[in-house]
Amino acid sequence: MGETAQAVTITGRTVTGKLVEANPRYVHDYGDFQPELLKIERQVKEILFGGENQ
Amino acid sequence: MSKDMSYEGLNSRKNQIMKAALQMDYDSFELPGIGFDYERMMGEAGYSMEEMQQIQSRTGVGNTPLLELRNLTALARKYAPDGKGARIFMKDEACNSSGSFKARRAAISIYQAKKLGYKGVIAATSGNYGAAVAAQAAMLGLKCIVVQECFDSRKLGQPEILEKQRICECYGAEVVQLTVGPELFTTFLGLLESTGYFNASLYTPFGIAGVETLGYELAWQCREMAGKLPDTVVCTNAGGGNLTGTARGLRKAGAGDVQIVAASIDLSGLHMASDRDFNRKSFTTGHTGFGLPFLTWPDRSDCPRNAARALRYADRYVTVKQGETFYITQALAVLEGYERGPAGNTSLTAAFALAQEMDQEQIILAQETEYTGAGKHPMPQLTFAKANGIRVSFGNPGEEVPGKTLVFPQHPGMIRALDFDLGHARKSYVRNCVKNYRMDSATEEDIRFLSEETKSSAEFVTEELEKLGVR
Repeated sequence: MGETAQAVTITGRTVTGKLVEANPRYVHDYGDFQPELLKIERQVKEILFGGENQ
Repeated sequence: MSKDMSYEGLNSRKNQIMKAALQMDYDSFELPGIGFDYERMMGEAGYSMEEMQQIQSRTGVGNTPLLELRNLTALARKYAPDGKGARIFMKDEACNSSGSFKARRAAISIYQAKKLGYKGVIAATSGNYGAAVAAQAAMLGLKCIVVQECFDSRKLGQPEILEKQRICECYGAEVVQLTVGPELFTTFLGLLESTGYFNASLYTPFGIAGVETLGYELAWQCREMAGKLPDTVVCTNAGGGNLTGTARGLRKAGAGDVQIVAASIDLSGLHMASDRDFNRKSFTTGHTGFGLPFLTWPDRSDCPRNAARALRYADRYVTVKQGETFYITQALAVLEGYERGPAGNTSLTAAFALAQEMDQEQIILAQETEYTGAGKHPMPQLTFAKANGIRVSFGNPGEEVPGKTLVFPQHPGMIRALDFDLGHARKSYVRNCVKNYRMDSATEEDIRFLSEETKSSAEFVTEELEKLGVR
């Protein structure tokens, strides 16, 4: 890690550079629950279909 | 002797690299003066509508469902004046292979690459187009490299773009990830030169002609479903290819009178090349940061002449806000049962607002959806926005400041499609042309070209040119 390394890419290119991470994970996800989206859901349902008890 | 791979070195070989990577002689379309023969260039794509439909159907592209959104229509009518509130239709382009309309562009482009005998293809894109190119290349057995602008200088990636990296790799592409900056184009040129691969640019005639099937298809589907053409088609607009291809396809289906509306997310004030602003936006495409520069000067793309020329086709241009588009994305999921990516819902958000100006028996059609998933979804985008200091609240979306706040409408009646003056865009185009070509005089041919480019009269062009000292 931190050293110069060589890698062969999936298309067969040989690339050289400083190795900063090996086999990095995908870090993106669905994030935190967002209460604002629940508020929108309740609002549009109520406008179209009436209040919770109807 | 090794080649000069510096910016200057690569740039000096740009034309020969491009020629080798497309096998298209753009010079042959140039007219004396400033213009070029756009229709002849588009004809050079060399495929008829039927051929394109066949090519696309072999790789899972096209024939996507057209849906009437009855609940969203009912919601819009709650806020429309009496008798107003057009029927809202949506073309579910997420059903294409790789999950977006971009598959239509990639299908024709990659078919052409295969036909010409290239071993691989390269595209510079951080968007759905990368996934489309990767999937189409996989199907035709070609190698694929996608170059994307992904990180800011802290190596923090926009979740939507990180998802594009994942999906491109999933379809077997090599993804070259870069930080924000000018190295995108030189890296792209360098790779084209060293690999000898095809330039699967978004902006070649193949890339744009591929979208014509979308306009063609929706016209026939709407005739079949509703017994008539849509009155208005709304296209999410960034580089202009979606709108250009759709409008051309509508014309070929005998639907040239349908009103074409461009819709973009308002990101005014954010700089696209800024490292700081890069991660302060919740939409990485479909926004004004691409939409307006490409509208007023299309030939800024990665090929000599851009086949996407939205100013030739747009009848109206509107903008919507990030908070409004997230709102409609959520409403589409919970009222209609379609979970789709937020950026693709830009046109639907505009359609929701515009429907309220139209009569109830009229039809407004949002011509695109895109796939959704980790990263490209309102939840991770809002999480990311908050982590980057964006204040999220309910209020008046008109007060949203891109890069600082994200405002959900207090109620859906506050969602607005704000007009961007196309007259202003036409003047900007003429000004850009005069500047970029250092024009001091104009021939009749130049004026004809400019009036086609700006969808305006020769008198308008002459007057604008005179104001700029060009006679």
